[in-house]
Amino acid sequence: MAKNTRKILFFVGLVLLGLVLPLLVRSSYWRHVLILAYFYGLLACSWSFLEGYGGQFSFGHIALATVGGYTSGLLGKYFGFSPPVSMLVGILGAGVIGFIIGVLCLRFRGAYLALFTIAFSEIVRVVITAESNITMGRMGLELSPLFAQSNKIPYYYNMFLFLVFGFAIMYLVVHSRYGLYLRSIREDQDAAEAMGVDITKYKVLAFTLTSMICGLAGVFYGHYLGILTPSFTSISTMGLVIAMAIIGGVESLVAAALGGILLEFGLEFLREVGTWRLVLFGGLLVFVVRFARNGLIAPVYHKMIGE
Amino acid sequence: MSSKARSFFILFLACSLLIGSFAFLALAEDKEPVKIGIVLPMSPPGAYNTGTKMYRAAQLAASKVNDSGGILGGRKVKLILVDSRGMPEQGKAAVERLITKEKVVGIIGNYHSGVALAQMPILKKYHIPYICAEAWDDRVTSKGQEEVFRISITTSMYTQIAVDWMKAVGFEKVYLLHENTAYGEWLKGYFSEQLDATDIEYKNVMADPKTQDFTSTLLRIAQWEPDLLFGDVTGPASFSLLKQSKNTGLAPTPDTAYYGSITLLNSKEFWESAGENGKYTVVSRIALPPTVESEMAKEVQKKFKETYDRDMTPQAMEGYDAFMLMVEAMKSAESTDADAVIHALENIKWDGVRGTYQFPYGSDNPVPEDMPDYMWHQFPDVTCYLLEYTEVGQTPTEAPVIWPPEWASDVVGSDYYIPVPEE
Amino acid sequence: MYTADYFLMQGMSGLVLGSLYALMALGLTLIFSVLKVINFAHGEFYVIGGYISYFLLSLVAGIPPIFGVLASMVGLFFLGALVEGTLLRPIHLGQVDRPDEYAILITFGLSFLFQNLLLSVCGPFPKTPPSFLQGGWRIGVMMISYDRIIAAGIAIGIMTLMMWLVRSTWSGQALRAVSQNKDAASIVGINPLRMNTLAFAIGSALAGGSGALVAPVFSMAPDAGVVPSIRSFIIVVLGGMGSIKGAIIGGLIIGLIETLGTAVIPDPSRALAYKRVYGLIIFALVLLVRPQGLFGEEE
Repeated sequence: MAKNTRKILFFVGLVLLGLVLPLLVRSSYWRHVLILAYFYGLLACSWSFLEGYGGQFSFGHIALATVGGYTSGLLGKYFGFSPPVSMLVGILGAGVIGFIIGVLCLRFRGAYLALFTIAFSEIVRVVITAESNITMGRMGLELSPLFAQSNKIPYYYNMFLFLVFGFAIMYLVVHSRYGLYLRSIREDQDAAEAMGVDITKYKVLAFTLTSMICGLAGVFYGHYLGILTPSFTSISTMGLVIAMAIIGGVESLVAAALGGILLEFGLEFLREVGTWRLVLFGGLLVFVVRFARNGLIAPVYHKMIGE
Repeated sequence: MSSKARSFFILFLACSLLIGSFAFLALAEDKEPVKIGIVLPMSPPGAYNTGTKMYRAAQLAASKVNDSGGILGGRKVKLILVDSRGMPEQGKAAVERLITKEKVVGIIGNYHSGVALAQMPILKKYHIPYICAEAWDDRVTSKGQEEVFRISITTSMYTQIAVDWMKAVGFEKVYLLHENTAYGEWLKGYFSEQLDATDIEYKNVMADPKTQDFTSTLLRIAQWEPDLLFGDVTGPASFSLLKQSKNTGLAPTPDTAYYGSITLLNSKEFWESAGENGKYTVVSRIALPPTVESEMAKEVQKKFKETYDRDMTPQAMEGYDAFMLMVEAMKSAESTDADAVIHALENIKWDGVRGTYQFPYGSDNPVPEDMPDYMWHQFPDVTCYLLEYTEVGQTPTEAPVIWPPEWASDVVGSDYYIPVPEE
Repeated sequence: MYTADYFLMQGMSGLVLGSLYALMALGLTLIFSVLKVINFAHGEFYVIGGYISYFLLSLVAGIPPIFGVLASMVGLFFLGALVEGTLLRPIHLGQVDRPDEYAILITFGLSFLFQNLLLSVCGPFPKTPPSFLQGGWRIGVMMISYDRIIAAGIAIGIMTLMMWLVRSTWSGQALRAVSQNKDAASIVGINPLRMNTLAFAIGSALAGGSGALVAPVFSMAPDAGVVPSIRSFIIVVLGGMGSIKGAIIGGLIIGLIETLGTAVIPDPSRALAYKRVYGLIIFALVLLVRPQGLFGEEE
């Protein structure tokens, strides 16, 4: 079977599974878990896009999602924008911030970008908390629900759609000429530059795109839960996303997304165990980084599609 | 054995098996536990300290109920905990889990108002009765949702008692430090409103409860020379705030009194962290003073202390009382059906650790115009008194009561405050 | 309304805090200067230091609190050496692809692991070891606690000792040599691998020591390392990665800015709420405008 055919079948199979799952999973609670799992899957995937392909280590993904969510929420609260419009603006807003960060960080190598994005994430959190008369701070900003019914089904399909859509865009970029340039930047930025690759353009593009995907995830999250608080922007949530992408397989969008989905499930499953489940994840993360750099899901995935 | 005997024997065996399995099923059905869910912050960033105590108290209540034979024909009660971590998103997921996966018939709990508010639509959707143990935000009950009852104090009740005390002592300049949470914002609002009606000069500052170092803000406050500092951050920061306040020479000193948050009632952690600095701090205790408590209340607190080696704080008492109330309502309704339980709660009158519970305003008796909206399904007789620690290592029940006058300890006389001695 | 005394007191408070910050940042900069790695687990070493001190002092009653600090430093020295030897050595043996990325991931992974491990093992309740000394030093209506002054004094002592060691001992000079030019150093007979382990161990010990010094003042909890960790990054970038002088001066500057910012900005609530942001903004500005910081790649 040709490689491409296997790959196509794999994706089609996953999409079909996703479409059909709500019929199999009737519990409202597990549907909620699935929705959250897709959310983390999308974030993990976008993180791997930036790191695994673009070589840029960012701690800012959750903060960007938060920016998107809050933008949408604030527009709804103070200007009466309806969700689809405010969500779009939220996504664009996140993209603009991402663009600015991308431009500012052009010269940063390795850890400096990580540090800068940590600073960004913290600033976002502190500002949201401090300006609580506008953002409602810790009381939580209320966002209007996306759908009139409280049934999970429309939310499920919405998040699934966002996941597939976001993934598709990143996949297309990665498998295009741009993806090649991005990867060359990751492997050896200087060599790439010497060969004439316009690293400015591609780095900024990568950052902007990933930020918009974060914004996409964030606006959904806000309107799904109906409430946003600054505690969401914590470094530990970001750490979780990074762990998911790494354990899944940072160099593969599919593996990272699956990593996010499966690990979020794992987290819910292991709720009984309390905080030890995070210890397990931490240990797993260290192990994977040290001994299985390509992740745990990526090899399985590659085998399945015959690579 | 002859074939006739054999067939008879087989028939007999089959019948006994059948009867046996029916009996087994019938009995097993009876023994199915009554599941009551509890939502609390059990890990950061939530107030895990308080959540843990409330949970332990509820567990104590559950074992008490089970030891006396359970309810509704011998069924055991089962307390099912979920951790909200203090985040509304988690709280919502937690409640969904409790209802759809664990199939609880009642829910108690919550410490963080944001979490409680986020959960209310889900309670409405599945029509599950809920007793709010410790979220003070008015909106929890002011929204008038039929499933929701509250036994804790509300913010405005709390501030009024504090303001009355401040007036009685004769403080002239009060500096209030609040947390920048919903709780803190409400406090600030009510304090401002109520202090405006007095001659007391006051100032407000908001602080993140995760702050580690308040020193520069405290130095700033010291410049204004207040005679009372109201340092109301909850959680571990409350101990740091007090220590730093003392170490910067601000309060408690002969010139400036210190009124701390209810976290200071966790006396074990308090004295370990604050040491000598803790003497002469004033704290509210939202419970009955020892002189007025029932024997039952004292028993329960003693049991808690023995079992967990910690004082039973008022919040823990709420955890206990909330559980017992839910159980009492089910007993009174003789069922776990939501409407029956809600009706039972609306008509209940039950002696708990913190007083005699009732919810006068409900569907049969709407909240009148001249009463605040939050009185819906609200326990109106919440008692709150002020105590002052005078010796290192004192537990809240040992500390002298300084307010209100009818319960004040003899030590105080008529001054309602024991000033810090001059060095 | 603000008197000279007020500014003096706030300033002193800032410097006291700054020296504690500087100690931790010194550890970070030392690790960077020799291993060229940013230790994202630095905050957790700080917390572990605080816990070691707490447990020692609560198990063995009556010993002077200084032993808590010593125990923390020794404990973290060995932990740091272990971490370096098992997890970071592969970088320098050429066994990993994209070593920069690996270094970030592995130290970050450790940070995640340690935080949750501490949470699971020690519980979330903050722990406070006993004070060094009760009371404080008065100026007018204000006071600085002896605890802080002693902690700052010890921190300054340790930093001075470090600076002397780096200049005067063979190991110190070997460390400098490796930080300047690894290959040249090995030609001269210095074992860079051993120097890496030494640097990481010392750096971790400094973080642990600062945790032990600060714990009586601020208490210690599993997630208490996040803010100091970020602050250390800020200081090290401000002072210049790898510069000892930079870490010390940067620490003092950040301590002063945090304190004075909170002290003078008109709205006290905002002033306090944005306390951490002052440092973060400086951080962002330095990264953008002068990434090598105040004292660049010297030392």
